[in-house]
Amino acid sequence: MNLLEKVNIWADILGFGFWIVVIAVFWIGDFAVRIITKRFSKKVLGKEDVKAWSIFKYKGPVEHH
Amino acid sequence: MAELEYAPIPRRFFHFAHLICIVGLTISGLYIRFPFYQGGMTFMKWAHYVLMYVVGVNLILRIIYCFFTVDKSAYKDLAIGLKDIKNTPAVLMYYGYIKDDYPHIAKYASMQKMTYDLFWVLLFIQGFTGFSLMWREQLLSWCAGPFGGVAIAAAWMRVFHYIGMWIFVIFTTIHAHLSIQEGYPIMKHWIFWVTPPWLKGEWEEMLKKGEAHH
Ligand code: HEM
Ligand code: HEM
Repeated sequence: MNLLEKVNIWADILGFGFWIVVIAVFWIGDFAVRIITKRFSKKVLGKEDVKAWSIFKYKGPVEHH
Repeated sequence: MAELEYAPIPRRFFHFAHLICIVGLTISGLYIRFPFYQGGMTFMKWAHYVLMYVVGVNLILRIIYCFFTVDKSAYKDLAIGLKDIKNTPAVLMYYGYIKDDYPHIAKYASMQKMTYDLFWVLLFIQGFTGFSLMWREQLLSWCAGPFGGVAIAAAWMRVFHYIGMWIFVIFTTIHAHLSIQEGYPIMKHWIFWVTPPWLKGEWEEMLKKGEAHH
């Protein structure tokens, strides 16, 4: 196998491999940890935690007077 | 000073067009490499060829927009300085669930800036490697020597183009996840054009602190 063929095959292996790892780590792993720790959107809003089950209904930070 | 929003409409438009193009180019490109069903090659090649011009025009307009319009200072939000690099460990601690927060020194965190810069640099690379598959002599004869001829140089460009696709796919996967998880309301603003009422105030605060530009 020449270098070009090797790079082609490694591009397949590493490309699909890393992509699957990234999906596992982020889309599945990180999402699971967020549900367990209930840590959602805290950084952007900086004001309050948003619970896992209410993230899709969240309307922005509540004003505290 | 012109009245501007967190993300003015042209920026949301260019971003949306980029999104559609990258998804379309990835699907059609993957089909060209791995024809995963029968008889789609003509359509997929055609789709790739149309989208590559659309994405190219979109990129050029985006660059013109970021240097010559009322929104022209916003490109500074993507500049990476020493203070961004110094802040990176703190950002990583936050995403590693070790710390609850990190110092907000700019509109975008350092790795976020790197990702956005990578996106446009990589798009130029995809453009060059992609067009060099079409116009081999014109684009490759100046550098074909070390490869051992134009045909072999083109074969390398094809691999580079394919590797470029993976980098796009992997970073877009992360980018989309974090935009939903970390900034759901802001994601809705960019993708679905729904503006939360507090966004303007939030952004003006950032401008005041010098964390964002316009
Ligand atoms: C301006 C940008 C682009 C240009 C000019 C371009 C051009 C091309 C051309 C000419 C081909 C060969 C098609 C054929 O064999 O007939 C190709 C293949 C391909 N393109 Fe693009 N493309 C561009 C952007 C992209 C982007 C952004 C992606 C993915 C994110 C992508 C992914 C692919 C893939 C995976 C292939 C198949 C490569 C292979 O056969 O190994 N392209 N492109
Ligand atoms: C797949 C779905 C995608 C989603 C949900 C998404 C979401 C977002 C959001 C919410 C922002 C704004 C962040 C903020 O202002 O805090 C953003 C910015 C950005 N995104 Fe995406 N994005 C997607 C795909 C892409 C793709 C495919 C590209 C590039 C090829 C891209 C390139 C960028 C860039 C360069 C910015 C910086 C802001 C600007 O363009 O003015 N995004 N994205």
